[in-house]
Amino acid sequence: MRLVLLSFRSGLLVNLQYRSQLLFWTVVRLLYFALTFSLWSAIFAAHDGAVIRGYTLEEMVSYYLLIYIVSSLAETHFEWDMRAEIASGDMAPFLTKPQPFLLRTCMDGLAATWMYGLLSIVLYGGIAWALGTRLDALIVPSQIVVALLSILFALVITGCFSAMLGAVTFWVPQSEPILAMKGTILPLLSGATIPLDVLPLVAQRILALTPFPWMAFFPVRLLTKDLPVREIVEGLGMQLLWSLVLLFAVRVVWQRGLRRFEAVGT
Amino acid sequence: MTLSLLRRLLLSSLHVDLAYRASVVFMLLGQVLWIGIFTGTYALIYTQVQSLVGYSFDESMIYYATFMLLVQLLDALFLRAMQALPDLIHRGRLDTVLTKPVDAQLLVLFSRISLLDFVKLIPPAILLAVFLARAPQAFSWWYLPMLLVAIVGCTALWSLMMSVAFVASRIGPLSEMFATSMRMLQFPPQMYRGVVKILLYVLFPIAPLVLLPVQSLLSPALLARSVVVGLALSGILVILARLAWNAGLRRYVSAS
Repeated sequence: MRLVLLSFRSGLLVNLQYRSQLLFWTVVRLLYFALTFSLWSAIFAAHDGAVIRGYTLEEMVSYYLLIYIVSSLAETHFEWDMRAEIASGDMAPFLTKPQPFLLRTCMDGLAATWMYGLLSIVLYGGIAWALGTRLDALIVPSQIVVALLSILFALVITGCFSAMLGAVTFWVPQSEPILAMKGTILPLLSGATIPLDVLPLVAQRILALTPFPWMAFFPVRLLTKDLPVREIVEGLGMQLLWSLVLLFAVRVVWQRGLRRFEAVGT
Repeated sequence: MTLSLLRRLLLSSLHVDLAYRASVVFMLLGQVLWIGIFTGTYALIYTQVQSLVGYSFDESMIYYATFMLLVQLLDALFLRAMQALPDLIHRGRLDTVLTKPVDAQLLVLFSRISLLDFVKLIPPAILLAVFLARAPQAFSWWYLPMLLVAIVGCTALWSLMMSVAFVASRIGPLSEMFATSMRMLQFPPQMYRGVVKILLYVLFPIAPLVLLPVQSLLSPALLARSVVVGLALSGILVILARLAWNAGLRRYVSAS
């Protein structure tokens, strides 16, 4: 446990070294929100009614603000660092150290997630305030605790995805296109591009069997909709199931990958 | 720069690319997925509206396919060179370029063309062909020169920004800002207002450049105006990129 905490602290310090990145991250996120807001404003302006698939413009904006916050709290991108260190052979020294490479990388990623997650609460909260949207009025107080638990599960699922994608580099040294595919697929399937409940019912049912809706869409539903206990238990159960399956998969992939690892001159 | 030099640069890039053939498959797969997702998103949007900022579904897809063609061409031709430029400058490796008997800016720009990246042009080209076949307008051959003018303008703008590396140690954020602005143009720029519009039309004037080839197809009546605007804008950007490069070179301190 001490090793985990030390790794997390070290990751936090590493991430705090690049404070200008925080400002830049904020600007980029603002631009993305501007894109989403402009797009939906144009869609609602061109639409005959004030409601599209159960959402008004204000509800749609609130949905995006909340899903961006939840995604920031539960997303990891350490697969890119893993890729760089595995491909260059810089991972080699960690094989003989008591601090495992995977633990160090995960903790670096977790520290970044924690930092940017907090920043996103401030940023999107500020946007909501500027737009006159009351996010607090949307949240179901009785489900906050389970929603936080759900965000933790989501973090485990996305972390496992990152670890497995990073480990792909053991087999494919130029793995950037594979890693980039995550950025293409995940936002759509997790509900960050469009709310999953506007998709056709068949698509929603198929998606429910995959780990994707449990990464962001389900925690947002927990935060904003008064769900029946059965649905909450089923959702958390799916998250637990996927967390266990993916943790096992990471273990297998990592051990097999290590057997293929080659480093020269490090 | 002589053609034989360009040919050798292309061959050398091809040899590097061929060392990582598997990544080409994933690159193509990623591209198909991305386009598929966007087409699906557009289709979903158009189940709710007849037209979006003046574009019908087919016109939106023509816009999107053109945007993707432009981005993929820029990536295949210049992405690696642009990414490597700050490192060349900061580590003093530009010395090896400056001592060659060719134009240094052009050599840097064309030194890392990725021939295999051209496979990424296939999905947007197919998408464009499909929706052009459905469109009532006839294909205008002005599309190709307008696409070329847009590429020249975007490359000049990109190069102009990367020249900041001569005076600043970290230009990652600026480069990302450019990439983010580009990504915002996946949807027609007419939907943006206020600060974002200023960003896309004035600060990084990519929107008018992306619209050049699209307007040659969808608004043939505005063709003459598009040609004048395109040539003027790209010309100004090329001049600015050249001036920035020369000014940067004067400040360049070799690592040796």
